[in-house]
Amino acid sequence: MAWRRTLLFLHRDVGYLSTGLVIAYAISGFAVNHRQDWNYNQSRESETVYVGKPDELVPPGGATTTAAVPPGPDAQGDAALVAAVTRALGRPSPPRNSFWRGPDRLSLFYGAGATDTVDYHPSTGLADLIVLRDRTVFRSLNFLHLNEGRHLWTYVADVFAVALAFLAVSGAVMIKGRQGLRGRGGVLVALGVLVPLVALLLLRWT
Amino acid sequence: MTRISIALSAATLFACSGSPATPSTPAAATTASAASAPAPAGPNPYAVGGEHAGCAEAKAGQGEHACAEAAQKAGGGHDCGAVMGEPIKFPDTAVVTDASGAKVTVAGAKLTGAPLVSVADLLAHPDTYVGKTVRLEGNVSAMCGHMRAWFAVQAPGRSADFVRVFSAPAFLVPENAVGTKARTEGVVEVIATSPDTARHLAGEHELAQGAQQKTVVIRATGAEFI
Repeated sequence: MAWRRTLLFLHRDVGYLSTGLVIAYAISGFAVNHRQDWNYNQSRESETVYVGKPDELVPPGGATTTAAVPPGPDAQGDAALVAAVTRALGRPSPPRNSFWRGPDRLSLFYGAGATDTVDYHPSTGLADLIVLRDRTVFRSLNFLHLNEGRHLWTYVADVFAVALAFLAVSGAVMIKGRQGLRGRGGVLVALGVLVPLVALLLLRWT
Repeated sequence: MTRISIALSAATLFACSGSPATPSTPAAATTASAASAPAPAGPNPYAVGGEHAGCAEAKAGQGEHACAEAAQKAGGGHDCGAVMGEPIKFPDTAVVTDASGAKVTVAGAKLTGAPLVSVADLLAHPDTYVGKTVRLEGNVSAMCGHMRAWFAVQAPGRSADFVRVFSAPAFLVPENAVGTKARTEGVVEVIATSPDTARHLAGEHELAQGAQQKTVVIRATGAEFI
C-alpha cells in the first residue's frame, strides 16, 4: 500500500536525522545508568604525599597549628600552615580558598571548585592531592542528554523525543506479512513492551 | 534490519530523556520574615559527628552522583529528590562583580538582608530558628553534583559541623561551588534523616552526620557564591 511506502521513506529519513542524537543519548544513557558506580562527568586522580607535620612545616617560634589545638578559629595559625603546605608542595601560588572540613582535614582549593584540591591531615603530615577532570566526551553528551543547556535545547530534545516515538511506531507497522506486526514483528513488539512492564511490576508496583 | 534496530533503540532511549529544570524566569525578591531572637547558650544537640565517619564506604573515583537515588531510597520529599518533583524557579545564574572587585555568582532570588546566623548557632539552637528566614554565610564544603539540589555550609574552625542548604526548587547550585564562600538566605527546618541518606552523605560527600536522626537544614530562596 502507498502509505507503507510513504512511512518507510519517512522512517528512513527521520532515522538518518536522528542518528547523531540516538548515539549521543545512548552513550550518555549508559553512563548515567551506572551513576552509583562512577562519576560520569569527571575523572578523579588522587595521590597521597608526605609534606610534614605542622611543627615540621612551620618554623620554630612562628605561628603553629597542631592537631592538639582545640577546634576554633585560628586565622593566623591557619594562614601560616596553608602557606607552609603550599610551599612544601611546590605550588607557585596560594590557594583560592582554604578551610577545615574536620579536626584533621584542612582543604586547600587551587582550581575552580574542587577540581584541584589538597586535603592536608596534620596528625599524619600527609596530603591528599585530588584532581578532578571533566570526561570530555561524556561531559558533553551528558550536557545534552540531561538538558543542562535548557532554553532552545529543550525544544530540540522535545522534537527528538517525538521523532523517537515516530520511529518506534512506524518501525512496528511498516512491514506487512509474516515479518510484520501479525507475525514475528508482533512477537518482538510484545516482548519489547513486556520488558518494562515486568520491570515495573517487580521493582515498583509490588 | 537497520530500520528495525533504530526503532528498537528509539523505544529504549525514549524513556531516558528528561530534564530537572524548566525555562528561565527573571529573578525576583521574596518576602522574608526576620528572625532576631538571640540564641541561648547550651549543648549542641544537632552537631554532626567526627570527621570521616563514613569514609570507609567512599570509593575512589566515585563522585556525588548518586544523590537522587539515595533521596528516592530515603523516601523522596527532601534532599536531591526535591528537584525532580518541582520546577526550578530560577534555573539560571548570573555572574556579577561586587564592590570589592570579586566575581560573585548569583543564584535564585535576590538576598533581602535577613538576620545573619552562624552554623554553630543553628545547630545548637534549632528550635529558636525553625520556620524563620535567616542568612547563613560560610565556606561550601560539599554539593549535590548530580541534581545540584543542595550544598553544605561548613562551620568555621575545626569542627566537622555543617548545615545543608536546599537550593531546589528555588535554584540550582552552580557547578564547581565546592570551595567557594557562600551567602544564602532561606527558611530553617529540622528534617528527619534516614539511615540511607546519612550513609550517602557520609560516603559520597564525606559529610558525617553522626547518629542524629534529625538535621537542621535551610530551604533557600537565593544565594551568592564568591
